[in-house]
Amino acid sequence: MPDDAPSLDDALVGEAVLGVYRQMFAALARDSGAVVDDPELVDVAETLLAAFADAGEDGLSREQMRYVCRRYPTETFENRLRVLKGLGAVREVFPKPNQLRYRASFTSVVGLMFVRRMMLDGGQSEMHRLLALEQLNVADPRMTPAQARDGADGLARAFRLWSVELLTLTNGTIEELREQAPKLWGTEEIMQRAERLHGAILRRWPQLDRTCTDLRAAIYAYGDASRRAAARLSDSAGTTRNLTLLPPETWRTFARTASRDELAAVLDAFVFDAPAPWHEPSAIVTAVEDGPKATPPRPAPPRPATPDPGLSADTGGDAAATERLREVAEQVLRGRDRVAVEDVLDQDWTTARRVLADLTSAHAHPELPYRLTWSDGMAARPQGSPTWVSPGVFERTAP
Amino acid sequence: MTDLYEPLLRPYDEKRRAELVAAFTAVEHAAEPVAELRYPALREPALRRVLGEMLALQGRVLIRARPKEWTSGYHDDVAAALAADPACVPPAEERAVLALVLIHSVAIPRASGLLDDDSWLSPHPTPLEELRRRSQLPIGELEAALRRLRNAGLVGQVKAGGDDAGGYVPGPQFHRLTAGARRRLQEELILAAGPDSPLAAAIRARRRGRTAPPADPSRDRERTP
Amino acid sequence: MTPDEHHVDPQVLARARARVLGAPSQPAADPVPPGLTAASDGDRVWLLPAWPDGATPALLEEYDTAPMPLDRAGQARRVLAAALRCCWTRPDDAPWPSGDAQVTDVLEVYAGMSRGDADLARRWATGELRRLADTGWLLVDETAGTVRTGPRTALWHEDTLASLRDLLRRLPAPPASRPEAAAP
Repeated sequence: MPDDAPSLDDALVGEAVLGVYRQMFAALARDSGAVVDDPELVDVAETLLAAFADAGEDGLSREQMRYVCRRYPTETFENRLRVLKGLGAVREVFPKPNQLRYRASFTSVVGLMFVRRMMLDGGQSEMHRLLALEQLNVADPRMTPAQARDGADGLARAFRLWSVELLTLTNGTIEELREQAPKLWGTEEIMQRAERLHGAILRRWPQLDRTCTDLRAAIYAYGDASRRAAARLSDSAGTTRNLTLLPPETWRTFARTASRDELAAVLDAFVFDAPAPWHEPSAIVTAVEDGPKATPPRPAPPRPATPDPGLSADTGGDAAATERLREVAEQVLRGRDRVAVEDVLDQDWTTARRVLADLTSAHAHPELPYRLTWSDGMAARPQGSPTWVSPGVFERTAP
Repeated sequence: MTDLYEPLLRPYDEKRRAELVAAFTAVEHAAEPVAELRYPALREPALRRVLGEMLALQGRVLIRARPKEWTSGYHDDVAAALAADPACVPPAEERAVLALVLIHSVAIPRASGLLDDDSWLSPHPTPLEELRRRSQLPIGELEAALRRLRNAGLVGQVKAGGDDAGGYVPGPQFHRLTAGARRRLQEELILAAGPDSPLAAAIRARRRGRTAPPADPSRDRERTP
Repeated sequence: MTPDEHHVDPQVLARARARVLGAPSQPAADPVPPGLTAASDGDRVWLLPAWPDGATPALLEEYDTAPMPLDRAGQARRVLAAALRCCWTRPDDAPWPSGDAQVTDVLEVYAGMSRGDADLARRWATGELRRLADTGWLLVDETAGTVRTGPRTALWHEDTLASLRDLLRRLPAPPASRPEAAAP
């Protein structure tokens, strides 16, 4: 922050400040006078800046720049380069006479990092950083009261603007609030940091009490706005939708670090049904009669005399495949006319899936007299587990 | 034995009575919510009310799981009373695994924008590897807990296949939570994983406000048994 | 939300509790809450649901509605059949309560019913016996190595048992019930 006492030539300072502004936001500039209207234009700038970072002190030639930006149209590239040069984000250097090279400005990269972070969390982490920085500043013996006041005023403004935005959202639609609130509302940690900072400023410079009162009011207003937004969300309809209010990383961290008891506590007020499968006497009889037998399986039953229209041996692969499906089907039926899919799949899953695939093909085969039917209520899920297979029947159709 | 349901069923003719009993059996025992279309007693509001009264005798309520589909579950007050008895709550090792499955299969996909339905069921399996390698659960108890959870229909197993690594998803019992229980589950997870979040603060504040006065102002009370 | 604020009827609570716990048991002398089916073996009484008009979950089948999924249902039922063959020794009586049978006998009968590796079959059957015991279909005393029918079999209707009795008569008998030296 510029010192209150102007020790440098004002014009020079002004120009320097504007120079930093220009470089910081060059990546977002559409031309020297306006911000981009297409996010792709920022991507071009980012691609270029990354290439400059890799290139080291030699910088890049114009051809090299064009090459790294080859997936963008020439016109877009030229336009970007012109703007970036105009704002000082990319400079021309002449390492040797007649050799034109380009270098990038460090400030623009920092500006872009800042912008990307803001897009991710709407300024939460920036606020953390600012608060931590100000806390360090307050402890710095060189810090003047005027600098401290500027810092506190800036934070108070940020908190007030945040509050206004949150309150506006809180009065809007629940969907928008749910989407935006996590970027805007304050965690308890931010509030605590802000209050600690406020206390530190007041202790060192009691004369800043008015500034501090303002800051405290802004912190409270922000805390209040956060609570209101959270209360509206926690009252909202929906029984899983608020899970989105914690970022995936928070969930993952909890899942990976929580102890067994911490995890178990989540469900310690829930009751569920005990497993109570029903075994109807007739189902027991069926299971035994249809189950694998100790005695060798009956010899293959006489094939139903289904006509084999138009299929001759020389159709090769197709006929063989059809025959294979017929064999699988007959093995499964073992002389019966119908069999429960559930029991057919009662074996290791790899085999079961193969059998299921074959039964499905047999069902779909226009020349084979088999049908696979699933009862309603549950979808057939060949990719799923046998547990989830709905009751189905594989049967011989009337010839 | 005097039939508990007789006073409720007596006014109905044989056909209606059979319809009521069929619908009762279906919502109480089917794996998935059952369609109104198939059960006339679920379709007709008057019979549906009787069904609700039959379920209330068991401490249960009718739950509309999806439009025109119904199941049953414990009434919130009954569940709260039962949960006070440690014998009625699943053991810690099962609850811990189940909480992890809910986080990986529902919370994370939800927070990543991958889930549309407002449901505790999910097509996103929790990989066994995740439970085994990247959680604090003692490995020795993991397999046994998963087996018991599967037997109880609290988790379902999705076998590996194609691009899918397979794993575990919340089981059909999660259809049977009332809206109140589902909301409470969401809150418990948020309190556990993000105790510092403004939302957790709001949940705590609301619960304090609710327990202090004896009257319960919640809007979604279902019929008390 | 303290539970007692909502005055849940204790009888209703007892029925819900029985569902949460499966088939809880209590000393036979304790009063059985109304609206439950009581299955007593003399010493203890098991609390089971009482369904309207006696409708069992088998009714779902008539409506093509899937029951709760059950892994390896066929295997579970075959092991249950093997166990019934051993402990339901007088099939003309009701299945509940039955006398004790040796777990080893049940495993032998099951191995005799299945194809392939008999050791493997015994191991599978041991796991199933445990599951059947967990769900109240059998009562297994693991230390004594004995098994008898579970209280849930008391929910079977007499008129649904004919084919099961017939099956049990056809199943091979357990090896002469002498005490086995080796436990599984």
